[in-house]
Amino acid sequence: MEAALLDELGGADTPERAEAWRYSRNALRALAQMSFVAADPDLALAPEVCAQFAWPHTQGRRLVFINGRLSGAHSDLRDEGIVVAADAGTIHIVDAARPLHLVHIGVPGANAARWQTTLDLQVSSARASLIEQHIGVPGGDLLGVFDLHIQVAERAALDWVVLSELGEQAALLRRVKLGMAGQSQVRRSDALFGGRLQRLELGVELAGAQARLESRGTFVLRGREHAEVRLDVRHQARECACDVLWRGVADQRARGIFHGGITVEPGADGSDARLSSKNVLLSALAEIDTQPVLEIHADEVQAGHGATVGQIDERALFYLRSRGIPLEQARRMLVAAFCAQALGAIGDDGLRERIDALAQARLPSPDAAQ
Amino acid sequence: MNPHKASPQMATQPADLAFAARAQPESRGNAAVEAALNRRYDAGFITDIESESLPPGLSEDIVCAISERKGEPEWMTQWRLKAYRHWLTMKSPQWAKLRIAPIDFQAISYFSRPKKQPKSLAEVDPKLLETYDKLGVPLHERAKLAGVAVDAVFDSVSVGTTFQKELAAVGVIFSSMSEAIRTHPELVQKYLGSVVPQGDNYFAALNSAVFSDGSFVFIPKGVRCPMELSTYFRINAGHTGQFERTLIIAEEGASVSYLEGCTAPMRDENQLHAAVVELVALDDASIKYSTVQNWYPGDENGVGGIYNFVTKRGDCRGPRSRIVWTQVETGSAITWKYPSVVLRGDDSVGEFHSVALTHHRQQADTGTKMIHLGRNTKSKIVSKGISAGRGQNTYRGLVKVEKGASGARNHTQCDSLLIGKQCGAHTFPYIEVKNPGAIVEHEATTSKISDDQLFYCRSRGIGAEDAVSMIVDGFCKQVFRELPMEFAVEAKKLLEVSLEGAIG
Repeated sequence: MEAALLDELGGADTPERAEAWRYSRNALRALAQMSFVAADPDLALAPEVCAQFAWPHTQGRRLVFINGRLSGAHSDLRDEGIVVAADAGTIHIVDAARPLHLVHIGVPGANAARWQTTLDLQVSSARASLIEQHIGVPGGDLLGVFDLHIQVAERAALDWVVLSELGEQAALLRRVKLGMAGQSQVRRSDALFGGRLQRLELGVELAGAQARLESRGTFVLRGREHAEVRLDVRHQARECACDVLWRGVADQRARGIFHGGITVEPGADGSDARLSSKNVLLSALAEIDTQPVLEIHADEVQAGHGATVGQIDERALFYLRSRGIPLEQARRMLVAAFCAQALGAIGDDGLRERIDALAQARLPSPDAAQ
Repeated sequence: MNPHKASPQMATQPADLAFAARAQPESRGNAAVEAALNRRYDAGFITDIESESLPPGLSEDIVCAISERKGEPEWMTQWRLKAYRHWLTMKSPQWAKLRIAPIDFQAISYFSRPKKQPKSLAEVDPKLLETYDKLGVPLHERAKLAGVAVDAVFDSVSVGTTFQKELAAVGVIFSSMSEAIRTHPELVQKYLGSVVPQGDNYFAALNSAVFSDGSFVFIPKGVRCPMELSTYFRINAGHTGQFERTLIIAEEGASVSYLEGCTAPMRDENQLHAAVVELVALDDASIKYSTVQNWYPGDENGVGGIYNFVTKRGDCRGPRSRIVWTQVETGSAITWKYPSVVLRGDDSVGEFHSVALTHHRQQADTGTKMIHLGRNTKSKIVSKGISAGRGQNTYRGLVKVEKGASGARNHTQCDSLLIGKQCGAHTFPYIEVKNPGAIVEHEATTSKISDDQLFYCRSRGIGAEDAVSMIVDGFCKQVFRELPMEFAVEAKKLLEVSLEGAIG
């Protein structure tokens, strides 16, 4: 069982695969010690779990999956404009006056459980909006594997907010393949909280000329949480642009890993690629690994990346304290402001505030500081 | 046995090419430009000197034979055999972004030396001296003017070391590695392999088994080395490899600046150069190691050229010690090289300044590793990559801050310049931080020479090639500043020559 899971998810058969799991292989190995049974998709949801996703403004456009299977009881598709194929494996967003709310909930059972699902999504609207939410209910060992293939048509635009909040025993592996046609635009904002192993692989193909990707994200980790974000952005056509900005925070014994790969393939002239990864370490036992990678095979390219790992600015801290703000509160304010740099792009105020509050709740609180 | 005589490739003198260009005045009008375009690798001649080589192949017998020919003590032979046995268990690394044709380690001769063994510098074969003269390396009276002590390594052996007496007067030991094994075995035994162990990596293990010569430098406590030390490496014989090993030790409070240069003839085969350099800096010591690497890069179709697989590592063992690597890499068909610093002592400093240029079909995967272990350790990385033609240039670097390295600081700047449509520039930095008191910063940019810059220069009457050369020079200035003056001049000239024909 152990070998099977390792091989399947993080096999070291090729140098590329071995390298891709360099920082998370130990976390995966720990997971592979367990024997998983198939997760039960018919488990009932506790009211407080339902409250986490039952937002009024997404009513009528909500799809809820429990342990990988679409739940008719919790989904709500009264609004028109979204086409869901019969098996619920393909979703087509046509009209998009309001966001589509996609919820994946992992519910643990008596034994360590595992679910896996694949979803295809097609976007052809010029102003599509998608909220993707992942909830890992605490209380038992759980492993989810989620493959998402999403195709954005020519001139379409997608505003995409992804929020994932996992309990400390939950593990979630997300493999996202995003294809972008000519002149399409995607703005994706990610927030990752919690999880014993949370890995997001985001592969983007800028396949049509003048496609534009904006990726913003933050992870806030504590305890023994482990999160890895791997971006693989490929410029394949002329004059594409990508702008990547991520902020990471690790406290206590947590480990955060950011890999930002940008490849400009031959012929993708006129590419513009920007990447920024800034990280803050709050504890002597936490670790941050960051790896901004650029591979350029074309001419006429403007590309740059920056990465930092550091701590809270002492001078800013001093300034706040000199204004009478207690140390712990000042620290929280500064870390929250740091994360907000990545979340500011979320247009939906209510949603942004919700994510802000989640991030704040994960920072060391004044009474927990000692 | 004299393999290079059988080589079909004749040396090409730059003068011949210039003459050939002049002889055809109608060929597109500008003979000077034609000549300049063809003037490529000045150091590509072969010295016709009798050499003796071991037969090609690698086995325990060969390892013992090398050791025996060099008259080494038993412990050294055993050390080599241990490395060889370990090497047999290892696999060639595949992770670099390089396309390497499989290397037949049995086809290489691991030892080659000029037949006449000079007893002193005065007896050195005049042809050899001529070679170094052509290369501009001062071995004799010119050395006095230059004021640089030189160790010249020709194929597998050191042919002469200058200024040994003067250096000995202040307690500095500067000799070839073979000599040091004979004269200072206790020092060699203490430090050899202490920074790069025998089994460190595939090529380091190979080097440990078959290394032939190299330089040994020992600067005793409190001594500032009175002159620049330098080694000039030359591969001459065909079907051979060069496996030199350099060890530099700076004791408490000592300091030294060391330069290294290298060239090889133009040949159709790929020759292997797998060196190991170890630096040890004790308390308050400082070592500055500069390289201008100009191995034969192969021709424009990627035929021939040196495979340069080098392990270089410095160990800042004592507090407040300092190691500075500066490299200008213009040669070699393939460069695989990561000069590193282990910052063990508190307040120690590591620096890496690099210019790497790839043209035609050259490939380079180079960078550095800065391992922060001590408190308040600081490191700085400046890497400038230039890709032209079909060259592939990769920066690969690791900055690692371990738990105990509070107050560690790193700044990395890594810029790439693209000249042409078919080249590639890649950046793979690894940043691993385990201490919340550390600050690590990395920034990188990639761009081509901008049309605006070119237009500006051209509007001032500067030719296209000169303009590119000026812009490249400006791009590299930050690194050239770190080089000793003579080397900076040479490096600048090398870049100009290497880039000829890159545009237009």
